[in-house]
Amino acid sequence: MVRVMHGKNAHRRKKRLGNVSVLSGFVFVLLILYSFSIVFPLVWMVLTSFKSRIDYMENVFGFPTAFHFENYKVAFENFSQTYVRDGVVYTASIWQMLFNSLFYALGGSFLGTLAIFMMAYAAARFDFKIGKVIYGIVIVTMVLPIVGSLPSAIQITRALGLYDSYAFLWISQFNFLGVHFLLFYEALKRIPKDYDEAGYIDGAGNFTIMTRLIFPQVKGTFATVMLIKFAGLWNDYNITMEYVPNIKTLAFGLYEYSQSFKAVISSTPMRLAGCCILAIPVTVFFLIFHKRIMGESDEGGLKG
Amino acid sequence: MAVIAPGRKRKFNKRKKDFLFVCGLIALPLLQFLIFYIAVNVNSILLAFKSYDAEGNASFVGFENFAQLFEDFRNMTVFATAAKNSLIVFLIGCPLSLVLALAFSYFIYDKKSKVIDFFKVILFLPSIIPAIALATMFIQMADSAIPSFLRQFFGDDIRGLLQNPDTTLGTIIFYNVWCSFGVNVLMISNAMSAVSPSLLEASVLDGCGFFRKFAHVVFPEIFGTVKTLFITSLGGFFINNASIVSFYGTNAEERIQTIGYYLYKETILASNSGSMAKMPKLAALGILLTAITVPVVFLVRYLLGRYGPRKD
Repeated sequence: MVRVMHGKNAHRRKKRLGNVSVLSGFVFVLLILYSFSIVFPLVWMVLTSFKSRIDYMENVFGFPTAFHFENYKVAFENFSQTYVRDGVVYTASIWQMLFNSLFYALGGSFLGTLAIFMMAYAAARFDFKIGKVIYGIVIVTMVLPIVGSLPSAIQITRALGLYDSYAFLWISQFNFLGVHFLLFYEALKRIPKDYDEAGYIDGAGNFTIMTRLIFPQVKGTFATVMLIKFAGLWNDYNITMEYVPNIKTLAFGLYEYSQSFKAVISSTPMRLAGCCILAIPVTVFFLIFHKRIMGESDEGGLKG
Repeated sequence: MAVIAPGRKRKFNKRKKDFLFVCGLIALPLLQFLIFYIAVNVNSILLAFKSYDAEGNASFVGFENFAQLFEDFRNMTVFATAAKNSLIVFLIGCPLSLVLALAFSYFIYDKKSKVIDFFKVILFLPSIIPAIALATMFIQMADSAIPSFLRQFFGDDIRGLLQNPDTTLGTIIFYNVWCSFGVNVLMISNAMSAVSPSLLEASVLDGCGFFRKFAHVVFPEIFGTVKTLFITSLGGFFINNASIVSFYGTNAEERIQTIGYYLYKETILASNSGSMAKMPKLAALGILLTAITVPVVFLVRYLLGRYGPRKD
């Protein structure tokens, strides 16, 4: 009897194992197909950006017959955008856009991360009621969906004299809301309060304790959040559209480039050369830092 | 005369210093929050009840903007089309994206290996590549490369997937699902990595296979994360422009617009015109949509919390 039961269980297990391999195999095939659908167009984009118009028309998916590096020269020249400020026509060159992108992405990501760190530090390391209020604000603003406040935001930005100004690019990023606050909050909460006590006994003030004792322990989180923010701001073209129409970033430059009707950049290779100018630096940046960007977030996660 | 013990006094001074330090730390970020969140949203409510003349002078008009909006809902087809499109994008895109993100995350989690980690990097790539570059590449692929390739076999009748009115919306939904995995996979994988190994071992000893382990052990443990991702998508129902801005700028045809796109495009066009005339009606529309979204989101959140799977 026992032997029969064993036999039945083994049969059942075998059947289940069969199902397992089919299901996981199916997901694996999907994953392979999906990965291919990501990698193939990216490789195609880079290769096509070196083709001539005729080479592309004759050979859509193939390897370029000759590498036309001049496509990039033409793309660089046509990235320039003109804009009017106070009745004067200016031209933003690609270098000006690069400066604007770096100004926005570097400064904005640093200040944004700093604001989150400061608020999370105040909430996690001290037991004042304001800490609970800050935590509550972050949670409520994450859950509360507010639609269509853009007209009001633009009006207030104009009223403050920040519309179309460099200052807005940094001030707008100096906010502490969002999931990264929780990442910092958890990291800071995990550090024992004994560090503060020991520092205080040694005569250190609050600022020294924060910068010399606690910050070094969360500098990994700081770097990760800043990297994620940097990539996001580098890619962001909405900010220019909405608040700073005359401070063109590279991302906005590509937006206008992709919408342009100029004949010289209307071919697929030229459009894709423009994409590569913006996409390649950030992709390389991600491939270098992917472990930090993706790994550190493992400590976070969302609670429902 | 009461005498304060030196120890107590020191503690009091320390607390006072701590409080001043905390105030110094939070002052600027809090000011930013008060201006760019609180003031913006309060002003949004006030704006909805105002009207601006050609000189830019504001006057209080009560519910006139809302009344005009309801009039527009009846007379302008764009609202019905955009609402329908928003619903289609959400009903197809959100579940598909979540289910695939769950399947991929679980596979990566279950088959832990360095090779499998490579897939995680690939899945995250579309979240890192600039949206405008990805969209431009997709347009060239869908409207130029694929039709050119297919014309060699099927003749000249092949049209681009985004150019053909019959396939435009479907292609836009595909694009949104295609590039939406990265963050979801990361969040779900992170939640999965927090599942207790002893629970998993017990389930394996009980004979649970790939699917049963997921359904009975992993999914209830990560349901909080899945719920939050779903709620975030639901909250963005009226905000989601479905990447239409990246594809068409502010020139998309009415038949493919979503509510989020309509609201965004109209605001940008009104802002670029330098006039405030259209802003109050757009603010009123925003308030109306928020009034619909908030109760729905909180109700769904409550229902998922009450009837969703539990960890025990």
